Amino acid sequence: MIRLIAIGFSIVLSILLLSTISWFEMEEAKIAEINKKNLIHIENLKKIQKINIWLDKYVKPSIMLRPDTALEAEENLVKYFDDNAALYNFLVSKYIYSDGLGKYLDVTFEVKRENNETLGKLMNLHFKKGFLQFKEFKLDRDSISGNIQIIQPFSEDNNES
Amino acid sequence: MINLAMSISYTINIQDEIVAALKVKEKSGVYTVLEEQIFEKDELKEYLVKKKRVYLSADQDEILDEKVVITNSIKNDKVLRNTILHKLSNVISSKNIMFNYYEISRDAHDETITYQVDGVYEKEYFKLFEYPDELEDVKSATTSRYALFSLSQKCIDSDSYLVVYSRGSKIVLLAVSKNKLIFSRASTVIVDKPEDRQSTIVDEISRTIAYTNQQFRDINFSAIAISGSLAIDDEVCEHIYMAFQTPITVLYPNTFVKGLSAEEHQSYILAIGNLFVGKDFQFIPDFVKSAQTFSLSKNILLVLSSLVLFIIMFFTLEAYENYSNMLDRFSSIESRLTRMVRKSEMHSKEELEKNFVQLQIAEKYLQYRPSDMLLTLKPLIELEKPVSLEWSTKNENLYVKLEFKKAFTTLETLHEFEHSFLAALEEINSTYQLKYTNKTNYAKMSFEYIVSSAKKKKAPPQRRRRRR
Repeated sequence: MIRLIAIGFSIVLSILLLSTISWFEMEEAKIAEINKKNLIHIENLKKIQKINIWLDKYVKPSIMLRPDTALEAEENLVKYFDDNAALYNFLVSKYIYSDGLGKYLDVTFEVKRENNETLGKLMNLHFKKGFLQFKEFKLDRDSISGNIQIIQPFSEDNNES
Repeated sequence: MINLAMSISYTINIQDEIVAALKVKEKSGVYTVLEEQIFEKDELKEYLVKKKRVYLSADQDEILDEKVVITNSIKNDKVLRNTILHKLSNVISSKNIMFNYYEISRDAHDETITYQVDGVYEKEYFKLFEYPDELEDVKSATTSRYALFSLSQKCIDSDSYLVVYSRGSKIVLLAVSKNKLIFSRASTVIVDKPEDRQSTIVDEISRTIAYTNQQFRDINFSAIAISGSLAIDDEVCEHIYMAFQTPITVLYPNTFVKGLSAEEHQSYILAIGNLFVGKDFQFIPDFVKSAQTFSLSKNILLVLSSLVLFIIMFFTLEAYENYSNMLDRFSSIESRLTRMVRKSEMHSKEELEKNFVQLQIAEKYLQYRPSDMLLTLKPLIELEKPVSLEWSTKNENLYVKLEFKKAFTTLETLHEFEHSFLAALEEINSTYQLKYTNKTNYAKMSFEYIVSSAKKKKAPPQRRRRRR
């Protein structure tokens, strides 16, 4: 009788243990899936952290410098023009206009080719509070000339874009 | 401890209403008696409670002790048994019987074989199996005379001898020839005077010898082995010796059965004999065999189920370890994730939208840079500075035009330069599609190429985006 009980006990315990193995394997698979997702989350967070650093370093300062009003934007464009007009022979080709993203001012420039220092500055020309876009760039025997669009985004009502 | 328990056996002999029981321990073929008891048959069932490895023997009022002659051509056990039953049908009438048989002689032409058939009648014999606690514990079961024969075979180093056993008024005689039990008989000695007992026993022996000599020729018993109460009666021994002039020996298994005195050996001689009964002289009923088979099956199943359980336990442990490791890994990853979440700065939707707009604007206005263009054209510019360069964007399209001029003194240098120029152009064309117009005057050795956009198209991906 004891042996029969022991056999029964062994069989029942074996079945229970088999069920336990299945349960462990199922749970292990579930946890492995969660771990996989968590690792993806961690990788994404790492990317987000890098993006945050990049945003803090390059994007946020620009946003901070961005004027709040259209008037302030126009003032910035005019001021930038005046600050650089003499060095690059700026001439207004299209006066301040807007397309919803910001205020624009198109200017022409001309620098003599032998003036290497100014040429170097021209190549690195930038507008801290906004953007510059070279629309035209001509290099001939004597000079470098072209057309630059000065862009000044502002925060008042231009975020819809 | 298990070994000790396994080697403990209980050997029981029942004569009339008296039970002789021994508890013995076996080690390397030597039995040590741990306990001896003589009690009433009524107490046997209680005695055998929880007793394992039980050897049984009992006196049977009726036994089958016949010789059957069967043709040599029958070899099959089942056929032989049926033939024996058929031949003995008159003797055993309608009673159920258990029997064993063995060959004792063959005729001169080897055509027939004489079998000794020993059997017990089931109705009386099966009562023996009412006593054991569990039938599977019965290791051996036989009648008293076969227990005596088996012990005498173990004790006597001769192939033809006579065994005489007596206890109370009962006397058992066995005739052994060529190590085979050729004749046996049990009788009750009833005498009025004690002094007549000796002559009565001698008469019994004389009759047995005479019968065996008559039935089996050329039998010369080399010894008369006495046992039981007879063995401790010196006078009877002397009388037998005087009567037959045959060496007298006493069954005294003290070399392989320890723990009993000489007299005690004789009191338990049949119980001791149980330990040495071979398969041929055992009568194990089918229901006992079934119980033993069932028990064996249970043992095998228990071992197998235990083994399976052990293996499954091992796999369970392995699965648990894997699960546990995975759980540890989960905790580790989760804590890393929590740390990362804490460390990661969260931005409001508005703030992100602001950044997004800023990036959209930057994307739009930083896509065309003359410096990026010059960087792309570097292989050509390094070869020869362009005389003129025109670069313009309109409606998100880019247009570029470069003019190269160079004078040469030899045609070879012009040719080499032109070759290098076209190779550089080819290199640029892998990322940026340009076309060229060759206006070189080879007569004047004046190199002149105009390189322009193949068509107005978007600028190539910029190598480095600069914040302006």
